[in-house]
Amino acid sequence: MTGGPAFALRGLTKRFGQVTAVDGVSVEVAHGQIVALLGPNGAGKSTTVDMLLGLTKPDAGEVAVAGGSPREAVDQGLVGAMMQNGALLPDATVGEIVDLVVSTHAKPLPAAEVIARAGLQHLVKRRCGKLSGGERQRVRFALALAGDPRLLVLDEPTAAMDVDGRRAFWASIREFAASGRTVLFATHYLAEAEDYADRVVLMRHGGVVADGAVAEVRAAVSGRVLKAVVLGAAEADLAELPGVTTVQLRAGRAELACADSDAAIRALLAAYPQASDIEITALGLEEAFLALTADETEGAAA
Amino acid sequence: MNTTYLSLEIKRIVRSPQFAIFTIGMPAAMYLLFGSIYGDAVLDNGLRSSTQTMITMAAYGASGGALFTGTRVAQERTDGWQRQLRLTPMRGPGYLAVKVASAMAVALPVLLVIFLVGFLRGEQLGMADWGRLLVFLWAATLPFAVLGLAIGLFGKGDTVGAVTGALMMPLGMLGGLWIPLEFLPGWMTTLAHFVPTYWLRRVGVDPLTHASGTWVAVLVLAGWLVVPALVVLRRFRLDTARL
Repeated sequence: MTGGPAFALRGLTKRFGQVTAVDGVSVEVAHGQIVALLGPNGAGKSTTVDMLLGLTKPDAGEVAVAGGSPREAVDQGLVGAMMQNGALLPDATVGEIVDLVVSTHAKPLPAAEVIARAGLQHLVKRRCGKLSGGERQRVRFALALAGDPRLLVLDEPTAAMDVDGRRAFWASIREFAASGRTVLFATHYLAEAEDYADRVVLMRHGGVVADGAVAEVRAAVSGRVLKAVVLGAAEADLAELPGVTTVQLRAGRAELACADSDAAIRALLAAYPQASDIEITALGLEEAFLALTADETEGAAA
Repeated sequence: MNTTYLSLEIKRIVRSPQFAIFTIGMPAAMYLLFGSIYGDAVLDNGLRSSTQTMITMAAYGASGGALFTGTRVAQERTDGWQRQLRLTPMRGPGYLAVKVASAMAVALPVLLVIFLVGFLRGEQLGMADWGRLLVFLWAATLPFAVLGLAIGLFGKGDTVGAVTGALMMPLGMLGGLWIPLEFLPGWMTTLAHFVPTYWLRRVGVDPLTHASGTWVAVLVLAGWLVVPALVVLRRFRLDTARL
């Protein structure tokens, strides 16, 4: 184990043809943090995770895991990963596939412990092809634990799990992290990031738009929403008002997302004295997340 | 070599219905069928027709089973299993070695089953001949395992399965594994020299008929081993570089 960060991404960029999937992402994570990589589908989370693990080669920028290359980290069992739809062998049993992955590592966890930590005791003899979606996820989790890693990388880990499954899964992640290990998980569930992460890295369009503790990200992204009935106003004019970031106008009812709602309300009343039914509310993290990550075009529909 | 992986691979192959039906069952059934049709007629080379059929069907089962390694590899790539393995310290060469070794490991019971059926059916061979047959045919299966792997690195699971299945037809026919070459038209016996199964059959049959020139068969099979091996190495490097 090194004194440096658990991993560091610097100026990471990946293009697929004309599309820049990841655009200059820089993130450094200290040992012992649980970090959520949060963003809508297509934000570049999976590509970032792939580069972190050495599965995809970046076009620019660099990745250091425990001070070395991703491949070195994988070889030394320093990093374990659970991929979205990661393949299993349908004709092998859970016990067999765990034994196999354990056998590839120089200093693995004992197979029995891997099985226990992933809660697979009763499924050891079951063929992987006969598992439910949630059970498959637990097997992938077991495979990620096999090398006794310092860093655990999870791509949309709870996608196929039911509520109980999720709760149990996060309990085992917390147990894992309690021993000073690092967890990075990619998710598009805001609640998961809020509930389980020490830190949230918010991605959109391949870039990082916010990075910090949950409360910090909330503060950075949250503003207030001003709602009012403003007859005769045009969306473009409302957007011009000071302090307003985005506008939605439906049947005369305007919803203004505001960075500075005080300035906005004064300007609104000055320009449209007839404005009525005025409401100003603070944005929840959910709305802030949507506001930050939604496309401008989608913003109107959200 | 990772022996945990090797033993799992062997178990997976033996478990598959494909193995029981096509690799072991079909050649054994064809041997019993052709063996009783052509009966005890003695061929020009001095072998009983049924003995030669036993040898060619053993060759067919072993080479076909080995060739299907490629289908498994292609399927695993399609499923993303190799990607999963990239998250472990196992490297490409270790994976390929397990694949070839497992193909070789299951070729042995394929040969043994047919020989056992042959023995029970009353094929008359001395101990030394049984031993030679087993060792020679088994060793000559290696090029087919590597050839299968080479094919398997080029396509998707179902495509490679179809290609391998289609390939077994000319390999069985032209190699003289299904029907003795003497019964085939002249142009086909000429073409036969270009398929590896022809030489595989020679490696099995020649020692029993004391035919000369078996070393040519060994050399040609060595070529059929080296060329696909080079293809595999080159392809695998490209494959991992692409990641």
